[in-house]
Amino acid sequence: MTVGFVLGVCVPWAIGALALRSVWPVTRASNCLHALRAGLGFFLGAGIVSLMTVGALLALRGLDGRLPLAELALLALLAFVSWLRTATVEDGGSRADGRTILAGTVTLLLVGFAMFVLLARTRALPHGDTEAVTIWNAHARSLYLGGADWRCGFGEAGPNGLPQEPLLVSAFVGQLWCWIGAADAHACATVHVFVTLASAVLVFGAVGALRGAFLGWLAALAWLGSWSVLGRFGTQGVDLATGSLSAGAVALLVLARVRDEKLTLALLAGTFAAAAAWTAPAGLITLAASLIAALLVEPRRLPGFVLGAVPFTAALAWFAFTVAPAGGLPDVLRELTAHERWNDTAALQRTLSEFGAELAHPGFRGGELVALETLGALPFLGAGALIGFWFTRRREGRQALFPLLTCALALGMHVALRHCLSADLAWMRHANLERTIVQLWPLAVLALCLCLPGTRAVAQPGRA
Amino acid sequence: MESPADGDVRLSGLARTWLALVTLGVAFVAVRNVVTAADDAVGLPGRGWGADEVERAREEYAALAERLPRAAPVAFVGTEQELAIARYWLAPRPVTALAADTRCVVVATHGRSAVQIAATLPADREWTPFTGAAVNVIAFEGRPR
Repeated sequence: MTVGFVLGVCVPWAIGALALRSVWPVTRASNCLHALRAGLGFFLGAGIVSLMTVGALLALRGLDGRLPLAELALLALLAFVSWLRTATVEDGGSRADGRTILAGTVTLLLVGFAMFVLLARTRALPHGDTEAVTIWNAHARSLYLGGADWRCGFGEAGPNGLPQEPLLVSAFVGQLWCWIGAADAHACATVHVFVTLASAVLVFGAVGALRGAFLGWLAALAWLGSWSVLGRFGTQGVDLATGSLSAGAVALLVLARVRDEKLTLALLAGTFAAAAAWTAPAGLITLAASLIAALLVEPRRLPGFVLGAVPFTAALAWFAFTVAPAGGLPDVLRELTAHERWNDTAALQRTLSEFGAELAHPGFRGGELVALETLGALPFLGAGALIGFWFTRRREGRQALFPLLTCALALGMHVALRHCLSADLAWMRHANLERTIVQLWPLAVLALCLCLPGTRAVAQPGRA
Repeated sequence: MESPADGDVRLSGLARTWLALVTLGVAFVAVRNVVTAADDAVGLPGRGWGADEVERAREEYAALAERLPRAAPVAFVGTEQELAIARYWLAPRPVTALAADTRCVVVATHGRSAVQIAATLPADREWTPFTGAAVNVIAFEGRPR
């Protein structure tokens, strides 16, 4: 079983890493770029095997040992393709200075503490919180145990059940069970632990690749600094995965500004943005926000971005229109386009004030004021970005525009959803503000850190 | 297109000072929150695998899950927490709160007896105990009278 666990996580990760290397071959780049690629590889692998899992359900009418065999075959194919591709050799970057080493040491120490928190909370909540038990883990069980009847698990929405939630994480857990040979609850917790680690690595790598290692460590510190993120440790929710995929998409499109592989990076950015939508409905918000921001700021990257988004968007459309029941995405789209709700300005003002009050509300935990814990390092990062932007060079400032715009649009869309959707579609409204914060957190950290002046203006050049 | 050959940028003293202040602020919040979270985690009940509510219900639902067809809709009587657990262990069967004319009702008893529960079920159907239910999970099969 232990071998199954290791292979069930490592094979998808290797598939993602090799797929990334096949389309974007780079060697001997900076450590930060390697970290970014490691984080991206994990999430890309999870996305690819989730599509394979759904494909196996449709083609084989059930999940069994044939899925791991198919994964191994894909891995061999990708290894061959990757071997054929000539990697771009880059300068590994300058040696780290004293303050970077200090920031890295402090961050790694905190990551150690955070790992302790993650494992302790996972032990206390082995099946995750009620949401995870009812939604994502129950969906994973439906996929794995359902056989030809797997769609029954997505039949009707109950008080807690949200059959409209897409399948990336649930299908990833399902394929891990195929490796293990049983629906073991440890698998859900294992996937959550890896998602959390990959998210931290991705945020560090993204900022580090664009602004240098010191700001990369600062971003990792800020990522840890939110109680909303720490509080979601061990809950086995999909919010962190959604936020990380969105942040990865934005980081790739920013990298497309400064690297030679523009079309490749735009394609990958679209893939990651759509994979976020294939993870949770909130990912659809960041996908739409990225599309609008790309249209306004990076119009030349838009065709590649849209093309890259096709596979996961097609999977989501198939799921939303054929598997998920009434009250799903089609109903959301219908309500969003209803004009009478948009014209009700009084209701809009009420929604805005409610949202603002909830966001600004400090909150209490155990009777103690937790303003800094809820918003985390956001006030410091926000102030730092506001004045730090003045110190950035012009091209650095332009790089920050796309993530800032995407983040602002996504936040605005969350407010619009609250305003437009009726109580029947509460699953899409994300009444829980904490979940919204976690979904936007990696993107917000990335956007604000890119407003700070880096020791390195741009990532190292490369050739496609 | 931007030139990628910019190399390292030397920051002014003011910029470095500002960056140091921001770093200190972020590090302060991060250390405070992580240490608080670690402190909380020490106090968490060390229930571990096999001891939480969901895991405890595993055996209770196992016999029922074996006998119920995979596509059988299940109506449930109980709290939301009990419904969540039933939904998890009975997946992929669609488990909803008791309302429709479904063939089986599952009840997480939590101290209630089968007789007490049977008295609360709708009178337009004839309820018979469903074989395969365990001690703490009682299942009834409902047929129209």
